Amino acid sequence: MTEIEETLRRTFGEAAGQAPRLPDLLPERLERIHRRRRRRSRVVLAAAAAVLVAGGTVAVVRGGDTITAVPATQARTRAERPAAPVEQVWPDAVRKIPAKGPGAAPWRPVTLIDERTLLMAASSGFERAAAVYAYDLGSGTEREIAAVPEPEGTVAFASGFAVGSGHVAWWTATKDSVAHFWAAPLDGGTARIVADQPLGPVDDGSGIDGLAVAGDEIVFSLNAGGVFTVPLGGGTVKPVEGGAGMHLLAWPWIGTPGARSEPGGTGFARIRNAETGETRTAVTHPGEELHQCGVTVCVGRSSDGRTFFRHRDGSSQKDVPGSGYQGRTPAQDRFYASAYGDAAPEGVGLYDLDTGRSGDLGIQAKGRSVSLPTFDTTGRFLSYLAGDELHLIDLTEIR
Amino acid sequence: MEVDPRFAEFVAQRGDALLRYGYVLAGNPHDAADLVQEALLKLRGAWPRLRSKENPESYARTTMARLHIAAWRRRRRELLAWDLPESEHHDPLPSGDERRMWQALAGLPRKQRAVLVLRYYEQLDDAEIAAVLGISRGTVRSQASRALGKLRDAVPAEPMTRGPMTRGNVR
Repeated sequence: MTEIEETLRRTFGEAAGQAPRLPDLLPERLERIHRRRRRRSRVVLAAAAAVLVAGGTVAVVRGGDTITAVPATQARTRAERPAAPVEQVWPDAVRKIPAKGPGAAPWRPVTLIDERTLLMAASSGFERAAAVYAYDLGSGTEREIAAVPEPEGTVAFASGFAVGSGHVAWWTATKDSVAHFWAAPLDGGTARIVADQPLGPVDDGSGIDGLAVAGDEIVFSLNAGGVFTVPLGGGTVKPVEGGAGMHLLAWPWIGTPGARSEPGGTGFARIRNAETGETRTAVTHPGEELHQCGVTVCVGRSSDGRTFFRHRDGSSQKDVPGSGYQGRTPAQDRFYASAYGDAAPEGVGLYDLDTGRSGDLGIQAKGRSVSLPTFDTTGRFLSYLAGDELHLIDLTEIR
Repeated sequence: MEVDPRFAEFVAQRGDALLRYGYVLAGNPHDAADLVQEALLKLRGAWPRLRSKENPESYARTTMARLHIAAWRRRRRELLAWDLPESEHHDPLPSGDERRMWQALAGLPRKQRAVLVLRYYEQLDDAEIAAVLGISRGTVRSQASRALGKLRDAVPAEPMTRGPMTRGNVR
């Protein structure tokens, strides 16, 4: 070993001894970030789809905290703090139901079964299997649809709840890297596995990035790309024509790139109607970044840093006040939730682009992050925990 | 928050060693901590399907080396899950040639530095270094010799004896 090599060896050894120490509780902190990232990617996805998945809601509730932490480091101006609580601004829209469903398990609305019935997914407490419920908005009563089994070796908990043809369907994945598609009759009954799909080497268990029920089939897409169908009653998984490399947006719309496949790209910039063959491409102008598109509306940031919503064809651009907004396209092309605060997020407001009104949801920031509310997959309800209550905002009650 | 006890145990037992490795790779505590955090998060994501024959520590170390030389890393750094201690005021490397070497290392391109760390800190041979960084053995050799050449220029050989009287002496 030459002298310079000897010095190097000594230098590295000495320097290593000067490294800082890791803090206690690091595994817990890492676990929190890990779950947040996994959720965030799912949430962004569900958001863009406006129809898609339940955003991993069950997994979310299992973790004990809600959804999407907003990083505090962004040195951006955030949305303006609403002047009044949401109950005062839109009293008809606010509903409060217990935060825990039958069996004392926390539950969340994931989608609508029909105009007056919510599909609620309950997480498993420690002793009870998770279950899905039909919640009657008229009477305020619930009915169990089915238990949600969690087979041995499950690494991705039930996600992607979707309803159609009298069934609710979802997926799970096990550690052997296989996704399992489940279906249960909405009238009540036992959930059973309809089909299995090998995932190949996937990251962090989010192998299926879209699921819907269309006719008598489950339609799904792989995080790695590719749209497939399988009959609700069980059978063979078949590729959708023209679906190679594509992702499910909102059936029959499929597209590329997937919401999480290309950092820096525009999620669902190019979409195709799998039934008619119609294609649409999002209009982008030089200098701006288009982050994410739904079937109709895209969210982006202009060259001077303003966030906007705009139709995919380039029309009807609306600026989003503040620039801290990150995330989904607006619900009903009109409503969005955003953190407000100066350096760090302080709370969350619901904003109506059409009227310019806003209401404070009353969600307190914890440390440097705040939980954003969850939208159901149809974009009609948003929900968030407030103490022992689950608050639901029915956006159709806001005129 | 439930944490896989085996993952928690691994972090508790090997985390500081990974941070030492990150520190010699990156040259400063912030980037070192960022590398460790990212590598442990990736390990956490892979944990359920990490087969028993795979060694989590070498997985983490390989991840750190590759992250360090990846071009996109230079553009973003994540929020750390913990606060680093305020910068300490003592000189980390008091002796003259080690301090000069440490400063000279800061001037090397990342890939060259990574090759040196793998060779002289991790004590890997060139074939192993090639596998860790995903480059050819020829590239390992050329990067190492270029880096050593720069360091030789930056850190002139000094008498091995140390003391106030030797400084400036001609050997």
